[in-house]
Amino acid sequence: MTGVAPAGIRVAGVSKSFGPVGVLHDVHLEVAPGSLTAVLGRSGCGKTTLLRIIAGFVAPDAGTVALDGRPVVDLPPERRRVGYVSQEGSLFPHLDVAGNVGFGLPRRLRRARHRVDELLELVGLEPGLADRYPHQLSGGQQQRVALARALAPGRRAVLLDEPFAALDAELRESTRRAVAAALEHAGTTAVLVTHDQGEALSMAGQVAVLSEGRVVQVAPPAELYRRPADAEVAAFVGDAVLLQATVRDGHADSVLGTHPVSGRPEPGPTTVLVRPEQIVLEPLVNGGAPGEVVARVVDATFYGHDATVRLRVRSGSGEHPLPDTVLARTPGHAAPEVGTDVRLTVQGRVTPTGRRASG
Amino acid sequence: MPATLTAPRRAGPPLGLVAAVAVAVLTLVPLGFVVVASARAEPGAAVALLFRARVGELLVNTVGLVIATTTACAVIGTAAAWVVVRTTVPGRPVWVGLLAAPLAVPAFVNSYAWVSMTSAVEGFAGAVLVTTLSYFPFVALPVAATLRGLDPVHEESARALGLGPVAAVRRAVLPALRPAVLAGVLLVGLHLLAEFGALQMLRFPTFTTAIYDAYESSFAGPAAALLAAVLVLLCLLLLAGALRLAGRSRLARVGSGTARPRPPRPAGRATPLALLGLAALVALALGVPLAALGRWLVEGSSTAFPLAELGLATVTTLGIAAGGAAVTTLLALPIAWVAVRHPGRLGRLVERSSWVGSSLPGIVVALALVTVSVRALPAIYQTTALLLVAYAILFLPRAMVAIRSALAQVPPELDDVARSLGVRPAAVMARVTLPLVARGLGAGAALVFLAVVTELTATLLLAPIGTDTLATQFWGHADAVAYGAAAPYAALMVLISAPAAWLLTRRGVPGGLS
Repeated sequence: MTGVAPAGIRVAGVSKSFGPVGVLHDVHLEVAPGSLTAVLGRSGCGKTTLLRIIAGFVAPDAGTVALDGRPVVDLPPERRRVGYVSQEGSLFPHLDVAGNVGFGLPRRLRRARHRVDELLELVGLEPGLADRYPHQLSGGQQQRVALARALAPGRRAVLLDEPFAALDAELRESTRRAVAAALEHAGTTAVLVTHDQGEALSMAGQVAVLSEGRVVQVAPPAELYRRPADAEVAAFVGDAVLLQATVRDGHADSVLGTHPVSGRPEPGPTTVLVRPEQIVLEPLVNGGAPGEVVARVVDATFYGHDATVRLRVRSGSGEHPLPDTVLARTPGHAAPEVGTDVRLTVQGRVTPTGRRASG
Repeated sequence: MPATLTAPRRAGPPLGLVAAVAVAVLTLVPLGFVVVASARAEPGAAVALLFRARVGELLVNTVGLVIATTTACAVIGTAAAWVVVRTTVPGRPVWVGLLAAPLAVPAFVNSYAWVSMTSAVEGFAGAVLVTTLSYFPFVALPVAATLRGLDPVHEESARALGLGPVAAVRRAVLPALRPAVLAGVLLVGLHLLAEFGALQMLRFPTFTTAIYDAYESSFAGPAAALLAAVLVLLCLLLLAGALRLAGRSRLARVGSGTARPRPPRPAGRATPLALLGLAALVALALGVPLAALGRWLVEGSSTAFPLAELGLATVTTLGIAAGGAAVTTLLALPIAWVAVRHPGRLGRLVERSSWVGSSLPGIVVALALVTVSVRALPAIYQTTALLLVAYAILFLPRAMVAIRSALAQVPPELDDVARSLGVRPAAVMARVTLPLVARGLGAGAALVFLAVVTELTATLLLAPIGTDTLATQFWGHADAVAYGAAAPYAALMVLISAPAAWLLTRRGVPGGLS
């Protein structure tokens, strides 16, 4: 925006405890200049603390934070040139939109209206809003103003702490798009903390999964979804069906049939991940042919565009024990009736989760 | 994650914390004086001074007055608040204002009004009457506020569970009023223990008046100090008793949320009785003093309007009150800041200690400051600065509570955001925090200003020779039974105090009573 080059962020070996409670344990994270990284985790996993350590509001007990290779742990927040957008936006209630956006600018620039208008335009807001006060704005508008304010003084990076969590579903989607577009246009390095898998997968170029204060996996969204590091990550980033399987010759045999696998897993027993949308349901013809996988619909939850169907497998293939139930996602118009039997096939590759099947 | 994680502060302990601890130490000076003076007193002399019939009489008088007046205030205040908030008596908004109005008449002016009309009010019964009429708003206002804020759902649930209307009130409403009543009673009790002017004028000796007399006859001798120790002990007993009665319920206002308003109940056949009661209360508490003042202003034989003296006393009073308000607000700021932003053990300690000084009677605070300044800092004895320090100790919580509630509404994230925008902590204070608490600062300063205007006891002891305020001038004339000459000063005090009473009844004024 103002000629400030985006900085790369490197977090190395950061640990933090509050009293006896360990919040972060030896956290490492690399964020490339100009990229958007999402830190994904359940509430209480330490992701906000990580963000506040990068911003300089909290000092780590151990480890370093570097911007463009220069350590900043000893710099107070006002000298790091890192913008911060909080969950509620935290607009200054005594200042109007122009006053908020211009807050971090040098005094002579604060009055220059074109700067404020430019920034409002960047986040997709009308310049006419400049005279409004925060309480006159919707939640989504407040968040956009907060982002404009964070970008105004030329920040090397912007940190966003669950910026959409307080918005209702409809506003959340449009605000997300506006923020993503503004960040892309500004070219700033950004770190987004969120507990929303869809948000992390759809907005970020890189997702870091944080669990109980540890980074469990850092990967691009598609890879994270398709090849999660373990069963827990698999279940966290989306619905997961985990099946006992045996790998041989680049294929995995499970109760649902023989599937191609991704990667080059070692042969032998393992657990494979199947996403519910990979499971295809078809009507059973004449009670089913031998070798087909047949399942009975236990219940179905209808969402409109699609439906999730819980099934009990009645006859499977191979020697593996029948799983309790499996979850399938079908287009809404094709959802089967509860109590009927369907034919079940798996499309695409399955992913060994690296965990040996037990029992 | 909780948002209250504190930012790294690398420049040692924050300046605000150091300032708050310093202020807390200052507020503890009077208590320290009492403890040291009692410890130093020669045991034999102390026993001789304390265990005598006179002290027994003071004890009976003081305790009796506190019990009788707090009980009367609790009953009358709660009943008046109930009628005004929960029934459909005509003219309810006017009555609410009238219930607060007695606060504009200082107790010693009220007492002067009664005693100047009939000497029958001298003694115990008169003391209970006059102090009750002066102090019942301290119960009525918080109870009215609580009643207004109570969510009717509790009473409705009680009815749905099969309780009759009376039982529902007794078991679902009265317990909710308890904290408000107790807070009011505590306030009344502390005022009674501190009351000097009103009781002196009614010739009803208590520890406070006796300390004043001892001070007049033998300056800050051991007699005054030992009596002060007993008085402080009574204050602490009262505080402890109130805390014990309150149990785990908060001693603060309750029910500030936005509950569904409850439609008032028609008073029906009780309407005339309720109106009569309210009218009698207001006539006695407000009508009598105003009528007496009016009478003395118009027809008193000693009434004089020495405009120069009146003007000078008014200017002096306003100046001292402005100074007191400024100093007190300034000292309250770090305490409020620590209470909100460092809610640890130290923060709690600092905040509570600021209440100790103000719980002590003005006479004890003044005595302590006289003694300490004469012995340790003779340069400030007999200066306005020392008087302002006394006001700060006495009225610190009024400013602190107002600032604290304003500050509590400023999320700490605003500081974080401001700093991430490249603004240094001092500038964050100036550009974010102060503008946001300005209203709280203003309300706190106004409350202190108006408290100083009607402060009598500490002003009598500490005002430098030649510094005459409205209160001291009034006292000089009234004490000499020149009722007419005292009247203009009293009228000016009432005029200046009226906005205070109004401010206290405003809903949402931090530190106010409703």
